Amino acid sequence: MQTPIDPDLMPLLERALHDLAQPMASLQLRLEIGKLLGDEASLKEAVDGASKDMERLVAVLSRMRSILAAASEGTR
Amino acid sequence: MKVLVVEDDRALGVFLQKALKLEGHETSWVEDGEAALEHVRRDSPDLVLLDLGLPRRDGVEVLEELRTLSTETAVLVLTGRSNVEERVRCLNLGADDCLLKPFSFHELAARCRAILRRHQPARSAFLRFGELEMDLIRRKVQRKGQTIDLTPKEYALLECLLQRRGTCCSREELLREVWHTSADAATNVVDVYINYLRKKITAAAQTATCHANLIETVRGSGYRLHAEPLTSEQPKCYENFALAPCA
Repeated sequence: MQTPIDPDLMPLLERALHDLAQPMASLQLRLEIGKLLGDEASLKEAVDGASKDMERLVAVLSRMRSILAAASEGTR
Repeated sequence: MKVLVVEDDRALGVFLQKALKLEGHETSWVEDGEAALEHVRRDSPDLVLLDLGLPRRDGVEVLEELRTLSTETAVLVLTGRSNVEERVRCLNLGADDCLLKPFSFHELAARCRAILRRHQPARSAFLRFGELEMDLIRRKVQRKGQTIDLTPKEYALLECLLQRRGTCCSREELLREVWHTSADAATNVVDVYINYLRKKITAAAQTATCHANLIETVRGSGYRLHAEPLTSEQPKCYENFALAPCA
């Protein structure tokens, strides 16, 4: 049985989804363009940039965990 | 084509520009809605890639106002917002298409081409030179009906030469326009790619004829498409030719 989502969480989730989408979009473009160009400098640039995008993604993930943790505390 | 990227995320803005340049477009980038409208008034881009979550003015507001300024400018909305209603609203307000983030470079490029294909008049869609035909919208090159398979860089190089046929393009100019690299860079990449192009164009010939002069080396200057192209009916000469770099 699915647990209904707290409506107060919806805008936070929507925001978190948006914040996930941004670095994922740049990550995907970086890697595809690096692969398309194929030279060593482009590949290195893609990988270096991908690490920065991953940091942003991890930060958003942490924020989402905090939101869920806070929501769980609130329902106890 | 002139494309304006409206995106407040810096990393994404940089890579959207890169992606569009790889497709051969002239690109500009602004980070908020007000700057976007100012740019459209001043520059009349062919296509706007519009993020919705913008500072100063929301992307939906920008779209509404953009449509009062111009119906000629195509708009592709890029959004990380997942609700269908918002994408439907954008399309009803006059966006040509919507793309949900994250997306593939290949899909972005294909959607841009599809939008521009609908917006461009047919008469500007082709560049022709002798037996060569370049379809600018579909990005295909043919010689006497036979498709020549070119990499993006080879295509961009040939387009540059075709746009200026009869006029010499310097190596520096080609480096700048095709590779977006400073002319100071010590590289023979232009010579290498000219050689690739010559081989592919020759290979597409149905009879063995000399095409050494189709892309002519202009000593001390650069390269140009020969003003009077040789056709398959002209006499056979050297099949193997050495690429002579400019002095």
